[in-house]
Amino acid sequence: MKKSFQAKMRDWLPGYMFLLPAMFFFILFVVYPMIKGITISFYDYTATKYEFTGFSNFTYLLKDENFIKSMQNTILFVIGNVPLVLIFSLFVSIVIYNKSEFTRSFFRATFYLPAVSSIVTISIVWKWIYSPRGGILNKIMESFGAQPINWLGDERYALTAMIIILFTLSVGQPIILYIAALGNIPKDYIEVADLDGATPWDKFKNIYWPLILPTTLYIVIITTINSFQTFAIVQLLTGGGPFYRTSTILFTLYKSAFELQNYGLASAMGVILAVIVVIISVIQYKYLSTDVEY
Amino acid sequence: MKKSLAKLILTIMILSLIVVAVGCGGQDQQDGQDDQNDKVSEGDSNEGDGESVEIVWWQYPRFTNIEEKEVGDFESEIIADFEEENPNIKVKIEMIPWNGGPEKVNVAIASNSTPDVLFDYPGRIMGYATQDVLVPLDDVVTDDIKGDIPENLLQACQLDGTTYMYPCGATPIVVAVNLDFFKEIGKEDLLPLDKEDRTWTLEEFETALKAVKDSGKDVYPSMLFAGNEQGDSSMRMFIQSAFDAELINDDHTEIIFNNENAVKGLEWMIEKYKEGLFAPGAESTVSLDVVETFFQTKSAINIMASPQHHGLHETYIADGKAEEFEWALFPYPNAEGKDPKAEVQLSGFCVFDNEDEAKAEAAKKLIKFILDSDKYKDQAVVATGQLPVRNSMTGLYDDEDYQFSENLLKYAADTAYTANNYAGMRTKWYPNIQGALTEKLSAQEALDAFAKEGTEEINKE
Repeated sequence: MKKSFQAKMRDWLPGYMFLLPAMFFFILFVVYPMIKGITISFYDYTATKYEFTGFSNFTYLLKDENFIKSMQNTILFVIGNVPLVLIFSLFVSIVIYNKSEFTRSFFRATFYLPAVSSIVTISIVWKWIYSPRGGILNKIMESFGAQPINWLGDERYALTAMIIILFTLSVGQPIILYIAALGNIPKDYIEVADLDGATPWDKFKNIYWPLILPTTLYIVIITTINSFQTFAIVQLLTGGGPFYRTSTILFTLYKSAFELQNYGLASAMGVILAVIVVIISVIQYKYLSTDVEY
Repeated sequence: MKKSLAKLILTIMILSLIVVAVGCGGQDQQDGQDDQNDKVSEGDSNEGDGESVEIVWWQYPRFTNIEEKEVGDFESEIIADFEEENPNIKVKIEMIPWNGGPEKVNVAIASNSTPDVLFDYPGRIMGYATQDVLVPLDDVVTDDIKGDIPENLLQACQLDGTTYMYPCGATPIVVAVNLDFFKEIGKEDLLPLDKEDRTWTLEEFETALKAVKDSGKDVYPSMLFAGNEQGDSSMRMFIQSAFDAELINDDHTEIIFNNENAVKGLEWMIEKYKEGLFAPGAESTVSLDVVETFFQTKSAINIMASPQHHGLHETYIADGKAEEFEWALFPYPNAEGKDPKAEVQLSGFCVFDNEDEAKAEAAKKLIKFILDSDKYKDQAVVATGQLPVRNSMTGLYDDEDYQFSENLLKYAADTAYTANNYAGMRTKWYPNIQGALTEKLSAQEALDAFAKEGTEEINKE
């Protein structure tokens, strides 16, 4: 029998009412700014102007060499960081997940420390490490007879040096997630595989990897988004240099909005960044999502 | 009962959403330039004599040259005295940091939430003036006061003949040399200590750098910096001075820093950088690194110094972050060894136009109280550690360096502070200099790119 509208409302209303407070803040602080940001991207919006200019911010950006460099650098940050984080965190997790609680906690804390430390403090430490004037890395290299390198000032090394910093900031959470995911795999599966004489690679390929695929998907998407949003270390360590070698979309966006007061252009950069992230996330979801349950 | 409670909650929630939506819609209508004028005047009730008015004063940590006082103490003292004299005016002070402060002001301008009073320098204040968000101060900086300020300094506070900044102090940016170090290596005679205004040629400067390098000590001769835009005008002025190059045309519509003399200056600088006369890593070094390395006696010559740094040096020593040593100031070198160019950094007050006459008047009263009253006008200048901009104010300092620096104010050259969108122009400087330092660009290419991009910026509406 079909329920009346009133009966349906009686069923649904309490649920929607519970949602309403969260929705209220979600709309106010997420949906509204997002829509506003998209709207502003179609305007020439500075401290003294607010004129609708259609797609001109977007066409300007797609011809702007510096923005294109920032986009290329951002993609290199993602390409450099995401696979490294994935492989390293999986490797560390597999090595330690069945060790004692103390060992696991020690490694979890060690790798998670950069994620919970102040980004300013971390940047200062890396500045000392990379310093061309008596930095610890150059001191170590010199002790092996190598020439000192201007890590952050030489465009051959600057991006790699920054990706290494981003890697140390990104690797903590994936390790914790992988350890938890590996710990949840039923022991029976491994025991049966052992009885059947499976090699470590067979076990990884046929048991571990399929069962941790949902975690991998989450890690890949989150690390990708975080890498796309690289900003603080660029702002604090290189200012986007040398010669735009480490500038990222978000850094360029910040400069455009808060230093040059070009809010329309900055919003257009934000929209472009969001579109790129959404497309890549959809592709990642398509190829890594799985219905596996255990 | 349950149903009626649920209905009540639902009604409240829906009403709240409507209120937010309406509020947001109202905000939409405020956007745009015309909307700058749509600010709700909080001061309607303040108009008229005797009615109370509250003004907001944003202050960078500028008044720091006072012994035994914490940052903000001097400002609080001023406010207490001012409020006693003007019981209907309340002043709310907010200290803003160097790092992030300019962005905070920009956001405030965009969101119609500017303070009433700000103490800053012309490089930013004139930018605010071009955005038409400041109140003219010609009624505060009267003709008498203008007549007391050197013309070249006053011009930096004016836009199209209208005064937007009431200048407080001025500092020439100069070269500081570690005298103890030069004495230690027996090369003190290389320094032009006895010459008039201590001017020196590029050759003499280079000889001094080489003496440090050849000393065998673990000390860098000097340092360049292009890590970000901080201190950029000093780097430019160093190049401007070297071969007497101009930065901008007379009517401030074109950057002409790709001229022959500027290119020669940058080529000289890069050549010496490659020879190791400046410390490695200039591409990622910022101006504060230069000052700190000098204070730590790890570099012997600092091209980003000012007499104000004596106070800063003492603070660093007290904090255990610097060595104690004797240093002296010199102007930037140039090819001829005479008539150097100097960057003169001014500081002063501006008043934001918050569409409230009572607030603007109160703000003007406050800055007059600080810069005109017998009690504070000298103290304010000394608190900044700068030199007075008024000819009539002399003898504020006993320090020899201050007295010497006063002579260098006459060498003030055009820094383009009053150019339209100066802030945009300066963002085009350091990436191109990084390009030159890393040999990605030649000196000519780097300065061509800067001139082209900088000109585009200063001509933006």
